[in-house]
Amino acid sequence: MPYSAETFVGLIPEIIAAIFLLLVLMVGVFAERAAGLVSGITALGTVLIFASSAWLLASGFHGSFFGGGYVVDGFALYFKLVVAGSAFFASLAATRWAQGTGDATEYLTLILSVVLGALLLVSMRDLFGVFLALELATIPSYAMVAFDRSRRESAEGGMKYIITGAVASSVLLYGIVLIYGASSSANLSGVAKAFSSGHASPVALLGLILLLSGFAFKVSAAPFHFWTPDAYQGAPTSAAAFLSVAPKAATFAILLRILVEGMPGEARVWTAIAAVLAIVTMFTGNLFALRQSNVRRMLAYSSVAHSGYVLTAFAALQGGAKAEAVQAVMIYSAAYAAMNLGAFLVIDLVGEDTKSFNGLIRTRPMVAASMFLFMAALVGIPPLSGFWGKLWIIIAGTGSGSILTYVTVGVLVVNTVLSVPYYFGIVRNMIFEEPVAGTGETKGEGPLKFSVYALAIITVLFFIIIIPLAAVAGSSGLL
Amino acid sequence: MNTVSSQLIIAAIVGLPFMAFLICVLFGRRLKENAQYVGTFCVLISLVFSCFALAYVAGLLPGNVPGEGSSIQFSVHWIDLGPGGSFSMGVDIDHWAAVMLIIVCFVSLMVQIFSGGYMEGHPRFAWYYAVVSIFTGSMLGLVVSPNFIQAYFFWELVGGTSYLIHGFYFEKPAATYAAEKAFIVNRVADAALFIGIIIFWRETGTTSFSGIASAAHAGFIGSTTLTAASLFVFLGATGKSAQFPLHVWLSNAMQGPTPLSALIHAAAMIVSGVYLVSRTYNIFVQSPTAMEVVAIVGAFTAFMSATMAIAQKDIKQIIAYSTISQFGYVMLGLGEGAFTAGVFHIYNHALFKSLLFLLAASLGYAVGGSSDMGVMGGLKKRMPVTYWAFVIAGLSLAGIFPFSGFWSKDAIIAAAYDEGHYVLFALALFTVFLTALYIFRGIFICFWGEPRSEEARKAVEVPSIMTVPMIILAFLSIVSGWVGIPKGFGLPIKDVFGDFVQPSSFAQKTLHATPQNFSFVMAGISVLFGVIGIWLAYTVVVARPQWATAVGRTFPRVHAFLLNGWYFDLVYDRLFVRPAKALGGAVRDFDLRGFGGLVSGIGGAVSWSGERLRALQTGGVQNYAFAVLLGALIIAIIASAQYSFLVVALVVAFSVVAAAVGARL
Amino acid sequence: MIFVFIVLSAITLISSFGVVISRNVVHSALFMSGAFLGVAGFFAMLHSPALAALQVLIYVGAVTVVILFGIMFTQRPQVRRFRTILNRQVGAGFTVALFVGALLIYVFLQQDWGSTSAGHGPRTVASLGRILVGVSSGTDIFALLFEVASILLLVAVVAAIVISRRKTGEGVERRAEE
Repeated sequence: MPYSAETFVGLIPEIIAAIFLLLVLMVGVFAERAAGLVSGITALGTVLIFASSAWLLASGFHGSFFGGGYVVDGFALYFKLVVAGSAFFASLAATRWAQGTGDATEYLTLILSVVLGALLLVSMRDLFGVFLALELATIPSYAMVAFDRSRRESAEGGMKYIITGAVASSVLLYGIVLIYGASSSANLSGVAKAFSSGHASPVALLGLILLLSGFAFKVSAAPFHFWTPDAYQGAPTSAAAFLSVAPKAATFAILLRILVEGMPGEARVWTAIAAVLAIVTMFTGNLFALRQSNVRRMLAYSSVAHSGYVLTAFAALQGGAKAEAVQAVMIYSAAYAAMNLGAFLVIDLVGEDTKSFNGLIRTRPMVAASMFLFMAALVGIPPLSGFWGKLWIIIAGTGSGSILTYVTVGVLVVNTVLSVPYYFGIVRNMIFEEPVAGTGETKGEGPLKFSVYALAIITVLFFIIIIPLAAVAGSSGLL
Repeated sequence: MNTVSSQLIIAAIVGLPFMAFLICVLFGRRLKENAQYVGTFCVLISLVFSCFALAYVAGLLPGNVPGEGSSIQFSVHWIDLGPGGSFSMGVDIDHWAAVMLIIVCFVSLMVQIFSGGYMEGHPRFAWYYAVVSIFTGSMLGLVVSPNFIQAYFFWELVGGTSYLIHGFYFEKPAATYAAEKAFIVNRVADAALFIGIIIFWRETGTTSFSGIASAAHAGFIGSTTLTAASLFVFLGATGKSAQFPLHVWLSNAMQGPTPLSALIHAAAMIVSGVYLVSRTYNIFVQSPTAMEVVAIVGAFTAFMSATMAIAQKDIKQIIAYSTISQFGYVMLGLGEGAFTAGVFHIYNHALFKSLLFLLAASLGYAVGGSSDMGVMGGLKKRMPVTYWAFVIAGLSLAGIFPFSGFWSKDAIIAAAYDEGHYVLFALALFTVFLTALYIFRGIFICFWGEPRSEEARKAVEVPSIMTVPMIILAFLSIVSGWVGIPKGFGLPIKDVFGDFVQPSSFAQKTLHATPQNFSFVMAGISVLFGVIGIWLAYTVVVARPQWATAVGRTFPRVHAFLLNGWYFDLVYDRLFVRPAKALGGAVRDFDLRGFGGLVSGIGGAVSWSGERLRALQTGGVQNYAFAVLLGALIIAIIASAQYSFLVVALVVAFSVVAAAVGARL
Repeated sequence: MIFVFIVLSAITLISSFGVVISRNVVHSALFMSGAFLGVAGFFAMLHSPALAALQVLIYVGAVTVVILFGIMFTQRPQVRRFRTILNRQVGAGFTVALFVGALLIYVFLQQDWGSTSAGHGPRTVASLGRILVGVSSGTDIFALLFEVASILLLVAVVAAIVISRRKTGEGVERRAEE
């Protein structure tokens, strides 16, 4: 079957990702010790992916390929930008660490394959494609978590992640198969027919439930979140930073697409599920994070809580606020990417114990200021990035006209306050505690510091960045 | 206000302090002590431009007709929400906002000049000026905000930067707790404010103050919703303005440099709460319930914190409690519908309160950094300028004729009487007595009697860079009230302030407000109460000190009750802090034992024998897999239930099951 | 037909159960090939002989053998036996499994199957191949998925190398059978 040139234009970001994936592997074979070169190539690849996606977005590219199974619209391209952007900073930040392990090639290959999986994922309109792309993003992430040979937590976290991930994947696949069985189509347009209002068969509903369970695992919503703290704590910092941002954003995006395009008829069911998941997730994440002494674990639980915030937007996908809810997921993903990536990367500079942040304002004021901004943004203080995400979610939630969603939004506001003490605990340690020895600068931190500062600037300037973001999100093509 | 150049001038009022902040942060190391010229110069220009804005709205400039509605308004499109609407960013300076701009710039200028001496030689001198500048800029931004979203933006910026102030002396361990408390209490208040904003936005589709007011008037908001939303906004204001029940953070948050306290209390953070209420007055007047709540909270806070101030041992604490109390008066005035009296009190308070804090700073400077009254005493002769300025500020605070505080406070108390709220009136009147008592108790302890420490014996007057702002402010504390002498007083001068800053005609119509007449009886009673307070303070401190100790010994519990701020901290600790900590600790243990197991808690302590690792891993992983299936089941039940109450019950049931599973492990 | 179905179900279920409760990893692997065989039988029943053949070739043949190789190469004989496979969560796990099973049965009984009957899968490997590379009509997306799958396999190899290159660590033995 002949494919038009347009197909290849639409696939440019993915093609670039695949080429660079192979390139990194090949370069790694011939220049085994050149970690700097390899991560440079990776960073270049992500920049090219970002640029090509931005070009497609700017040129208003819109296409549906492979029999409607793969779409390139504003919605997909937006998330491709988020994925490529966070991959750029993650690969820069990985340089020093990967140099130390001697396995930079493999590590960066894994990052690029997660990127490729996420890029494919957000464009899929076919459930089997969704599964395959999701696995392409997940399988390398198992290895990334287990990558750090010097720490036993890494092996353990990786193993827990693999086994539970396999369970969740099979649940997800079972759900997809049941939906396919009920609708005789894996394409979302075909699925939508089976889910047309009020006529969903029991098997289709069961499929929806299992699908949601599988996705809830992937985005670490409670009670499917148990792998998250172990995996993020065990993983190398740059891996935890990247995995908590890019694949998660892509997973939320495709879940949104599946629900909005494939199952609008049963919105009543899945908004209720999303609302309950959101409530449980927010409380779980924030309560568990409250008294952690390990910053990585704390941020892992905080990422669970933030999944709950995004799920609140899913609960708002009804009534008159659908468009705003879609925007909320988009804005939140970008905002969260900047601040969470930054917060994780600071750990790499400073240390994972809360005590290692003591007196940081005196020993390394710029790093401390960046961390202060990330923490304030995660709390949701304007004008920093986190505020805008929450603002959109609340706007969407209050417009949905459903009491359960109102309750969820109320829980979100309560949780915002509840989360203050643990984010603030870091800030308090940085400012008021006596510095501990050994938090000085070490060699080769340049790229890492560049990433942290750049992300801090993005976090601060989000009130300007939000203008184009909101414009893109407003005309995303989804809804 | 159409020309670009004039719009730039208005924008520069807010922008210049931010520029100063950037300069001080980026070039702080090179600037060193010169940072003060950057900060002072920028705020001076802002002050000049603010005067331009004031002249413009007053109609003194060509091309503008004086009268209501002659405000400076312009805005730019900011964020597009798609079909949901859009937010804009802009400026709206009415008469009151123009006055407020001048107050903020002026107080900031005084503080910055004073600080040039006070902070001399401090290693973080430039950083200090950066903090002052961004703080001033945030407050100016809040003052000109035309809508709730922009106001919230600067509101949080004010709150966030105040954290920099509390944490300025990070060497002091006590600062930690204070900063943490201030931050969390303010987050609670901000969350409430945000809820209020969102309710307004949802109901009216706009966040602009005037838009919401007219939409509410047109009946777009139900009266219950309007009251609820107004009360949420008011709760937000109580957080920043340290009103009951969210006043607990302020008395602890006195660890920053004292001149910065002057800025916070007189013109910035604490003022932002009452300013927001006065700014959204057109919304508040439409809900009588909300107005009543504002009045009651105000009167109660004024009384409560005045009693707390009586027993304090630290001069800064006394002044801090007096701020809470004075803003209680402002809230009372606003709640009673006496808009002009309320905002007039903000204006007067700004001057005498900044003076009081600068005086406290110079006292501390003279006796070696402490603000404990136990090390002072007998400073009257050694520090005459400070002493006399303190007396003037104290008289103004106590509301003694003809000092500035008298005019506004008297109008507020009279308004409470006119509205027929006799309990609130009595509370307010009694608070006058308490105010005079606590502030003069402080003055007499600090300046009269014998020196109580070596530093006090050797103390000398502070350098002139510090006395000059004090003298200016002292002069203003006497005369500033004279611009608002009511017509009924019988003097042939115009009530300039009252004519210039009026509630909108809309608010006047809604409140059916009749212009108050000045009552000599009322003024006489209130001054009498003040004088009695001063006399009592003199008696117990100077003439009969044994009385004070006797009272303290007879009623130790009352003394402790007042000293500890009515035990609010204790109650809040028991009610909120401890349960939250206990819950956090419990789930952490659950996390460590049940699921996280190996990693953070046990750390290196346990030997990582393979056997142990495997046992835990197996259990952990199967727990996870178990949880995945359990979760799927729960989702299935939710999907079939579809009734919200059942869903809530399921959430509870799930939590119990999760806890039970954790306990079994 | 019913009889065949019962026999195949029995093979699949009993083998799966054997995989779970067997205390010897090698036995578990062998049981797994039995389960795969049962599934291959289902494919044949559903008129998809090509799929059935592939199932036997790939899963019963290749995958099981690779797993057995993996076990043989990586594990010391004494750790091939697990001490306990049923742990303390047996009660809770059993309850939840029971509920999930009950839910599945309930849903499948509720479903109105109507005239649903076995489909007609590809009879020749050639037609199966055409579907897989997306040249048959209506299966365009498989062209993309085929490429994605190839990259996925490459990445999986890299991931496997990364995980297994570890010097020490108890996690290795368990992971090998994944």
